[in-house]
Amino acid sequence: MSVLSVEGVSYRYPDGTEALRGVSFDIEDGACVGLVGPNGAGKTTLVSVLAGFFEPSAGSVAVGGVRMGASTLAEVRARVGFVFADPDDQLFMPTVLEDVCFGPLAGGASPEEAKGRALELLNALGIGALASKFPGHLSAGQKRLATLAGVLVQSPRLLVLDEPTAFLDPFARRDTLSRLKGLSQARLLVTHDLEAVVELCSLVLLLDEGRVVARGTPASVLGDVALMSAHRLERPHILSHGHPHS
Amino acid sequence: MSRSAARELDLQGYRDSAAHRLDPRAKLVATAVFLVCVVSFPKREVLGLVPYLALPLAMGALGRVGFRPVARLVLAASPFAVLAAAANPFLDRQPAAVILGVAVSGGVLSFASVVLRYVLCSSALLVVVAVTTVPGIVRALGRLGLPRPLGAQLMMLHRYLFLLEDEGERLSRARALREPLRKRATLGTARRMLSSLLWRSFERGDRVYQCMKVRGFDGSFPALSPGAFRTSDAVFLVGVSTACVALRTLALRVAS
Amino acid sequence: MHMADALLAPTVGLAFDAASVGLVAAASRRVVREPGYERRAPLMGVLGAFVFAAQLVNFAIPGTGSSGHLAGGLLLAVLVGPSAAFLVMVSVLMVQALVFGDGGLLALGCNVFNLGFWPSFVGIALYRQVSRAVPGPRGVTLGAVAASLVSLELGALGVVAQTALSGRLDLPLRDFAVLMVGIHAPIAVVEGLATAGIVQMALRLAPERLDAVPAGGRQFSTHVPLLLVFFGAALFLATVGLAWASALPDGLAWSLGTASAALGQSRGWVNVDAPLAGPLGALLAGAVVVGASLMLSRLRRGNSPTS
Ligand SMILES: Nc1ncnc2c1ncn2[C@@H]1O[C@H](COP(=O)(O)OP(=O)(O)O)[C@@H](O)[C@H]1O
Ligand SMILES: [Mg+2]
Repeated sequence: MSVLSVEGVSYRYPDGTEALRGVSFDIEDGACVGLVGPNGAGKTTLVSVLAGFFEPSAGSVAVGGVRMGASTLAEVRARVGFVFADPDDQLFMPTVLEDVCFGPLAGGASPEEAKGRALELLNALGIGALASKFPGHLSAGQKRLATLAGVLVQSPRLLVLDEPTAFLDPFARRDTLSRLKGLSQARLLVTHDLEAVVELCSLVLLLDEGRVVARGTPASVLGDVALMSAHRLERPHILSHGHPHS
Repeated sequence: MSRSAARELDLQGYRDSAAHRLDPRAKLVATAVFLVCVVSFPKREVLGLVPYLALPLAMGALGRVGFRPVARLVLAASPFAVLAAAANPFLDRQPAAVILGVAVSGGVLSFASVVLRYVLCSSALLVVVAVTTVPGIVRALGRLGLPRPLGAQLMMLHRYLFLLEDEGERLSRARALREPLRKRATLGTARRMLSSLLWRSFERGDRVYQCMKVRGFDGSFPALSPGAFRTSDAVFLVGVSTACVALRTLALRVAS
Repeated sequence: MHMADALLAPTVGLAFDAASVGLVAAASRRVVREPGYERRAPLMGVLGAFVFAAQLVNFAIPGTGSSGHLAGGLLLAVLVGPSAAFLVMVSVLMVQALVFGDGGLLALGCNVFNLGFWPSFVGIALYRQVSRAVPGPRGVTLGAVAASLVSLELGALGVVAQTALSGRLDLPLRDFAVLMVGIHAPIAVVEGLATAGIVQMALRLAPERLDAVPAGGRQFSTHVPLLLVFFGAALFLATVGLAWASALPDGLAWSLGTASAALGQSRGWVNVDAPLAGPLGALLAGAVVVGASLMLSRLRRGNSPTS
């Protein structure tokens, strides 16, 4: 059954810009779906709709069968974890541990319970030693893992990742990608990092001018040179030279 | 520059030592007692203040706080107090004491006293923050009754302080590169720079809010249960407070 | 112009601390009840950090050769309203004391009054009145300059009062006051102009970002004559102050340095003790009292449920 179901979603900004025009797609349990598209395609707008910041002007979004609306917003948000591009926006608490505990505490968990779950996750991600650190003092890769912990601690069924490899050096990027690969949750990977999409995703959606213009396996969509250049994208090298990491 | 010294001290708070492990409340209340004792000395007191130097020195040594960043911040922030008191020697010329056979005027004594008070008060506070962290101080204040909106405000401000300072720094550097002949921005340029800085701050605020919102934020800032107040904390608090008050009363005896 | 622990007597410091504890408690209660606090909370934090970043932008103060930077209290009040701005300023002053060694723990109450209270509660009321009475960008500029003059001068006088009450310095009260007011006038004008520029740009780009001012129409007109007198006095002070300003970055440090030097040479005020000081002091005191009472009464009425 699908975790996320987006049906005919349109969104128009107050100034009249039609950022999304009838976007539809589903994400199955445990699947990783890539969402790619040139600047201005509507990716960020779609993430904002999924997060409930914007109400679609048409269409609907359902998470785990629950249709998103004003009354179900809290419930839906509890099932979806969002990881945004700039980890400094997301790590707003004074220590990593407090930051990871923020979600559970806001959701009504007791401090002991929240702390226990947070420490368990931090250890599982290999950053247990950073628990009492100030987020501003972490490296970009450590920040990324900390944001991931803060999201996973709420046991989401779906992760929405907006440019999770931005700001990372190659080593941290590799580390982050392998962590993301190992997750059992469904994932929507929104990114310009097409190589990451090839590596992680089974399905790719190509978005342009607010529409899904192509969907299919990474090889069929991202490997189509004509399609890619028609939408101001580039076929990733990884598809021409084979998998460099296998 | 003093800004880098401030960052250095801020970073030192996250280390570990016996001083770091003391309960922030104990350190904060002890500092308050220290400050009140120091400023309560009469205007021309100098000798009675000297022993108080031991406290920031001992605390700094215990917490392995760098001497240089503290000294740099104390110097950088000093002009007002020192300049204000610098007039005293010219205004009060009555001999007030004889030190090593030399008659010293009241103005010179009160000037020296202000300088000493200044060094004591600011170094003590800086050292305590360097062995506690700002969030640690804010947590302590919270448990001593600081209203929660202000506590949350302080945490957020501290979290984004150096991040936004870096943005301001970059902006200033970009201007200096574009107007190499102008040492300072004109008012018009400054307005535009500040507007763009403000704009970025608003956007940052929006993004942070959204990040909070998707994790269930409802207007209240949750807190973990803080550490317990241990015997060692009580011993420290009582010890420092007694020492400060004793030095104060002792100095009174000497004077009278 | 941060007040320092070293210049305070414990009674003075603790009295101001106690008073600001009360103010902080009241502002905290208010701010959480204001509509939109939830959204404003992270923004307030970021705006506090913005004040520090803004202080890295130094600009020339025209005609004086000195430089200044934004103090920020008035801008914050225009952006997020009085109570929120006050809390942000309190947090800024606390971080200045804790992280940068500016001010002190005991002096916090004094600094909260001098630099937080006046712009957040008094300056903003004046700004709102003026910008409502005079439409368009001119009103914003006029209002911001007037508000910043009033709040900065009241703050400067606060430093004088607290120092005098503490009795740690030998500076003659009246001369100190006149000097402080003079030196802060050009700084205040520039702060007002910078604030006005930023507010105008924000009004153009994103008016919804600014704190919604309670609608009140132009019932203000009866006070215009009084305000003109007050504004004239402030302007007079500004021009006199301009003559004194010089190259040191911080007005307060400069005024005290000059004071020390001048006193050292003559044990008196060569330049200022002359005919100017007396009338100037009286004028200033009058203006400040009239302005403050006017603002406080307006503020109280502005906050009543009828508006
Ligand atoms: N706040 C806004 N107001 C009006 N139009 C906007 C706003 N944000 C984005 N847009 C427009 O919506 C379209 C989609 O933008 P966005 O979702 O940010 O694209 P992407 O993230 O794929 O680069 C673009 O044409 C963009 O200019
Ligand atoms: Mg985008």
